[in-house]
Amino acid sequence: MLDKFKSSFREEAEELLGQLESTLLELEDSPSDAELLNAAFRAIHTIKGSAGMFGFDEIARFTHDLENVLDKARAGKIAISREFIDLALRGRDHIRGLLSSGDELTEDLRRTTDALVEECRALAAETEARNEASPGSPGAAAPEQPASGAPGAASEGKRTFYIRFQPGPDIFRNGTRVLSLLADLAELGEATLVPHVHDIPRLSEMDPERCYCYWEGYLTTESDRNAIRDVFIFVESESSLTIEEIEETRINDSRTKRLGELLVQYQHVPPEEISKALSSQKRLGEILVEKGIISKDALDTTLAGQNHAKKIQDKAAEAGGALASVRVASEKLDQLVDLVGELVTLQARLARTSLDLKEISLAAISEQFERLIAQLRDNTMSIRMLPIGSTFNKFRRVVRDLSTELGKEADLLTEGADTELDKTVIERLNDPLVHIIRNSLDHGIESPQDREAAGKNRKGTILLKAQHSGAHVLISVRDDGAGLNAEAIRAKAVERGIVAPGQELTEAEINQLIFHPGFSTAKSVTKVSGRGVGMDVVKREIDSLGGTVMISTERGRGTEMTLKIPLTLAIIEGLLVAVGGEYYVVPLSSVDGCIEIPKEDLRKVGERRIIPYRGDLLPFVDLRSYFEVPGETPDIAQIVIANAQDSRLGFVVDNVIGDYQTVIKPLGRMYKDVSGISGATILGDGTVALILDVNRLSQAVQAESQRKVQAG
Amino acid sequence: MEETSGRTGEYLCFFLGQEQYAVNVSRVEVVLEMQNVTRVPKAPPHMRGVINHRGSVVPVVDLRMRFGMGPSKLAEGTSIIILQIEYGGDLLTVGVLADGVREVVNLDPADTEKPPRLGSRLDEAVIEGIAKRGDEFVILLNIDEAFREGVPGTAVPAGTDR
Repeated sequence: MLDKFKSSFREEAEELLGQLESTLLELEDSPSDAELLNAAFRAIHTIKGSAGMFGFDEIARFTHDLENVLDKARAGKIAISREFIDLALRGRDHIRGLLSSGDELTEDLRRTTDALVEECRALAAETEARNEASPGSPGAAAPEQPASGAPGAASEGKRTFYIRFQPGPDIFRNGTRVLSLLADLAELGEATLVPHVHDIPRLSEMDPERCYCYWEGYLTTESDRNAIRDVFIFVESESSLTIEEIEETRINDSRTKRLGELLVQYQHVPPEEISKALSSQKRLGEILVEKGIISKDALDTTLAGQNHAKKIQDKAAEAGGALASVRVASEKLDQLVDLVGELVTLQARLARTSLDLKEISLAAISEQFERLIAQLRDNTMSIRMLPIGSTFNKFRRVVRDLSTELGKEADLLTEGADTELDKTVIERLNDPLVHIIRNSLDHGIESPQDREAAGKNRKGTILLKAQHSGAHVLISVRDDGAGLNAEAIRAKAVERGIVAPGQELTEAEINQLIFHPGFSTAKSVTKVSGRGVGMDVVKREIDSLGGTVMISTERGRGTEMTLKIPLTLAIIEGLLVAVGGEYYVVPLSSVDGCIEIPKEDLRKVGERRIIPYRGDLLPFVDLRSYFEVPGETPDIAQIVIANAQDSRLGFVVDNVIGDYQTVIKPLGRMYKDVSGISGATILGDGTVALILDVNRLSQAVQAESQRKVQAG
Repeated sequence: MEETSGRTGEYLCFFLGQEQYAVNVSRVEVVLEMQNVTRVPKAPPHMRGVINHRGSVVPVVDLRMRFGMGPSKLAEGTSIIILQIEYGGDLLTVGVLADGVREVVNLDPADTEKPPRLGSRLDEAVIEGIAKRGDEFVILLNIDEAFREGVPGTAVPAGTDR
């Protein structure tokens, strides 16, 4: 049982740490933003609390000191410097390390904790001395401004009312249930009510049918005054009811101002009394009541108001931040997608059967079923979609740490963080993107001196941008660095024996060379890149996602790498084709068009294997002979023209059957060496069709034709 | 061979050609009738293709070709035995072609004999043991070994189908 809690703590902490990192990085850019600092503090505070509760003592031990430092910063006693952010970031990393180390605590980790605790204390102590002089430093002033965005947006259209309800003494006698009235009231919105019970006499003197209580409190609701009045409509004549609207500012006051200030403002008490009371050390409210300055009731109501405001704003912040979401284990999602996939398949079968039976009533059911399943499929797919922004934060950290290490200055700007992509795709994009960004920093962005000499800003910029483009997402990484050096690349490629010395190459071909395995242009081997593994790995990973990589570069101005990635890996639109008795699916996103070709023409083309298409001459593959399908080509064959990564090619098939929603199933490990096929799908009649891997087939065809040229 | 203890003694017997083979029933998910197997082009010949089994795409392997006995005929009476095997550290579902499935029998692994060193067309590791039932011999297969990557299926050149 405890393990379950522990694992949910880990999950939650993992998420909090993710937020913490981005918050800290933002804070570094805008150190005066108190909301960010508060968010960071809250994250640490929550982790500390839960860590202690679930026995992560080591985490609790040092988050305490880290929290202290953040708290001091909140009070404006510590300036938000780079060192401060550094410390906080390292603290965050350490918590993460401790989390993933499990229950085993190595000596290394313990030492790191000690060192961090030491640093935290040193920072706290160092600033202690000079804090008195500067009360107005960054963090201190800011809480005055109401948090921009979230609470405002969430409380839009909502108003807060002060409500005082004193039922008549005989209210119980006519059968009214006061508690259900209050429950009705609470249903209108967010209510905080305080019962005032001090009029209840001693038991011996009490008349049980008499009402001695009254209620006071606050309600934040979208309903208006009349709706509130309606709740009390049957008792209004015998009760006293006060409903007053409260302005927004007063609520925000309640959140940020102290009880004393509020009591003064609401004219429960004059200011002098507050300061007098404050000088003694008891709790303010109790003192005031004790001294008879305010009634216990007034105090309770005001306190309730304070709590109420807190509750409303916390709710609003929650709604603004987390969009009222539910946490679901990703395996469950995967199972759901599998099941929907099976439904899609089964539906195709049902449609076919109803067509065969020519039964109209069955066809109607099947059609309706089809619509529902299409919706279900779209919904399920959208559940798996995540905004790519969650990974962007990681890259900001990469840039920050790496630029320090390399002695360069660079900013990472991001655009389109809310672009949504399938969860699995995002996960698999992570490594390639880290690699590209590292490369941009290492090879692209020049040192500050070089940049100044070239008349550029000392600080380089890397722009990470995501945007939708049809069934694809384009993710580009653009730097304003030196650009690719074509001569250097060429020279290197010749040296490595990748190209022949005299070979004619276009600019695009030269740029493509950096994706060649074993290629690296860095003059020195740095810790970061330049070990010759890199861009080829990126390319392979993107290939396996069914995506493509494009480069454009301008000397002295920078380089841009664009990844084109399919939105989802689970379902694609495909074009179903037949060769002999076999069925294949060509991904529709890569289909350019279809043409017919008479059998004789195919024969005439013969060895050259080139066909004219829209003014171009394209190579083609006869799938029948390439896949060794038995049977004869029909008198008129079809050619499906498809776009591969950097070229177009045709596939000769017997028949084009039509487009087809395809749930992609992996072929499994036993077929991992098979090239030209990227997966399988189940057709309406339950048989399996194979999905063509257009890029691989194109490469194979090119390689083959090159061999022929060399041989001939 | 050393792992036979602790397993149930129930084995599913099937034919490959005239020879009887058996796999432990704990590995058998279901026996299917012959159905349309989708060929995967450019795959090794003993990988006969894939089928749709309960919504998953499952590879179908021809053990006769794997063992160098020539291809199975995809005729009536041919069955596909769906098995759970260990493959490169993972559990995998595969279909195996059998020329006929007989019955489930109780065989005590302790009573089986070690395979003779000579005269077997199979690699020693693939055979868990040989059991005698009446005057018939049944070869108990170590199914994980039979699928191990790179294990040569045969000591005899392929194409000796009887």
